[in-house]
Amino acid sequence: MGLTVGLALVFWLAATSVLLGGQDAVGSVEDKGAPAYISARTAHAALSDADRAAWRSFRSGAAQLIGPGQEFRDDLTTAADNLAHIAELDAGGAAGRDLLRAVNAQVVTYQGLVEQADAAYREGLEPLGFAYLTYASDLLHGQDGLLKGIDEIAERDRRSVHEERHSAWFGAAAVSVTAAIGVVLLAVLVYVQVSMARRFRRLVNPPLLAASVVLAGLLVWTLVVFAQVGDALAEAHDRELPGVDRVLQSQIGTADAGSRALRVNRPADQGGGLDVVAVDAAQRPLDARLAAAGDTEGLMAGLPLLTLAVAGLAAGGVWLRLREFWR
Amino acid sequence: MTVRFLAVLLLLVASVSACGSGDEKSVTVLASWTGPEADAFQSVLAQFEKDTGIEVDYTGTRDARAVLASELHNGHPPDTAVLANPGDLRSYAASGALRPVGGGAGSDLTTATGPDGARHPYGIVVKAAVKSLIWYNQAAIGPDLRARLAAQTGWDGFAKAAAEIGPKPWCLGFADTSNSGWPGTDWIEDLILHEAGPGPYDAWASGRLPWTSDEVRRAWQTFGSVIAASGTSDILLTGYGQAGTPMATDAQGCRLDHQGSFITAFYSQAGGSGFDFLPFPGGQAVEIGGDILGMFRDTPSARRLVAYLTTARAQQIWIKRRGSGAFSLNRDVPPGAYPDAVSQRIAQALTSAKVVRFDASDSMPTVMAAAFNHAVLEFVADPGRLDKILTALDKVRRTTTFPS
Repeated sequence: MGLTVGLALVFWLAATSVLLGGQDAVGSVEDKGAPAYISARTAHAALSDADRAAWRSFRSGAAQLIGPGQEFRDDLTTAADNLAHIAELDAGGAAGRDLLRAVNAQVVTYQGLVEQADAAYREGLEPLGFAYLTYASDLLHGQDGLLKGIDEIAERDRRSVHEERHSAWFGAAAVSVTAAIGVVLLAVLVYVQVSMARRFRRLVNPPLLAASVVLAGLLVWTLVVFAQVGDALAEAHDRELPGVDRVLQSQIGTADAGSRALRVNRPADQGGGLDVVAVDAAQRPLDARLAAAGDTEGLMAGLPLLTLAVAGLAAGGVWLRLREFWR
Repeated sequence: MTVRFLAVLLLLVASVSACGSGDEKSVTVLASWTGPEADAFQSVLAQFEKDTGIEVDYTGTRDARAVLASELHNGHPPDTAVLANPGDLRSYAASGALRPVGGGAGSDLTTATGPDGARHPYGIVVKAAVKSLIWYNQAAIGPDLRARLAAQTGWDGFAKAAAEIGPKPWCLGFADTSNSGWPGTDWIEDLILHEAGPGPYDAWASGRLPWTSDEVRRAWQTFGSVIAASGTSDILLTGYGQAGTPMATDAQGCRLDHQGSFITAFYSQAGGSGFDFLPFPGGQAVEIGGDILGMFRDTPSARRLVAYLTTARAQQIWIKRRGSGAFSLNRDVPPGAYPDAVSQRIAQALTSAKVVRFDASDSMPTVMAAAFNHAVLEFVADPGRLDKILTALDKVRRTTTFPS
């Protein structure tokens, strides 16, 4: 009796640990890693597009009237919002905060250089205006530039998502150990059933049989939920997040090609630009997958209740037989 | 039993508190050095750790200035930090954020007025770069012309001799992303220091001499003649590190590059060799740039680190690293300690200089220095605006407080 109750307790502990560990990993991806990564990539795309918008405004002569233009300002606002979001999420600890602080300082410097370009251009010093715009562009795209810093933040967040996806809670070992404990418990219940049938000349012990059935069901349910959570997180990591990234990368590529062309005074594609709506659309399947990964279908409550039922029924079944024997 | 338990508990709390304070056996350093520069500094720090058992926690970030400002704002500054320039040192000294340090090599260059109104050394020059140098490629300029250039004692004679080199005597490139224009400020500083002398230079650098004064105006006009005679286009868009590479790679390229001692690293990167320098003509004055370490938390470990970094032993570890570009203001470091002949000659020029001055724009308040940088770029774009530029600069001077 003690063995079955003990094994039930161990099963509950193992399954709950895997479930909670997995949900913690899913929560970390859903609440921090993935949003921080997308924010960093969006900030990159917004700044790339700001650079293109500024070049376009200066090359077209519109800067004389409107400076770097509304598109530039909108892009900078988008970048600032996303950087603020990364700060709120605080995914990188003290080192992450330092890096983000440095990036924010560079954004201010970048904006200042574009303002200098604007001022020089309006003063009639066109070559100086273009020189300042070039410095701004170099600050953005340079070797130790602003975008490199943002990419570092993005890479850190991508790594954290990757680590959570491959965390031990979703590994074969954790699931196998849980399943093995459940199977051993089931085997013990069957063994007790058979032993008692032999000793007490009663073929079936209903409470023990019920415990076995409940345990088998619980085991299947647990493994199905584990598999569903793991699959959903894997899909989010392997397919949906790269999908969002592809959308952003395409926008970054278009913006960078545009600013490169405008910089050397070649015509650039008028289309493209930062498309936040497309990013949102690409993000929806990711959000859905992560929501699915966070849905344990009631197992969190079912696990302790049904384990308790298994333990109770098993103990009850044994106790019933023993009581008959003692009479 | 209870008493024994309480005693053990108290002992534990005391131990944890002692460990948590961290002041006795560790010191934090913030600087902008990363990559090979950081490696060189770490090798200096490693010896300190070995000698003293004090652990040094080094943070290297390109945006050390912003990080320092933020940490000061949050009330958690590092024990020590390498400051971007003497202007920052003076501001932090005046605000009381910096703690005075003992004297040492170059302490006269780091003396500033504290919140008590008294003047103290607030930092040490941990690494100096020698400016006032004119670089050339030995293969591109014949020995006769070289000798004539070296013999000149004033700018006019030097400029005339330089004009004989060819259609593009001067390499000029003033781009440096967020800090563009500084190579031009170095030109004007050297012209004022060597042509007008250290007195007007000091007065100008400390905001006492107007930008519209004859000495300053003359320097700008001379600078304008260099630009006009350079035969170099794209000055605004050429990086300061790339400006001199045609000396090695282009037979028709420019021939003289006014730059600091650190520029040799760029020449090497471009695959150049055989570079040598001439001191800026007009007297034995040398302008230097330097990285200044300031102490923000006065702890015994921080004091020991500051004292160690000024020693000849520590400085030699640094300067001996090939390509470090570091020079020491400690006169106990012999020129022979430097790793190559050119570095040894630069060190000789530094130790034998009668006048050593810090880069004036680095010493000016941030707003003045930024205006100076911009003014250089504006002047390059349109030299005809000199009067307007100098008047605007002087307006900034008059409305800016220059900490002493």
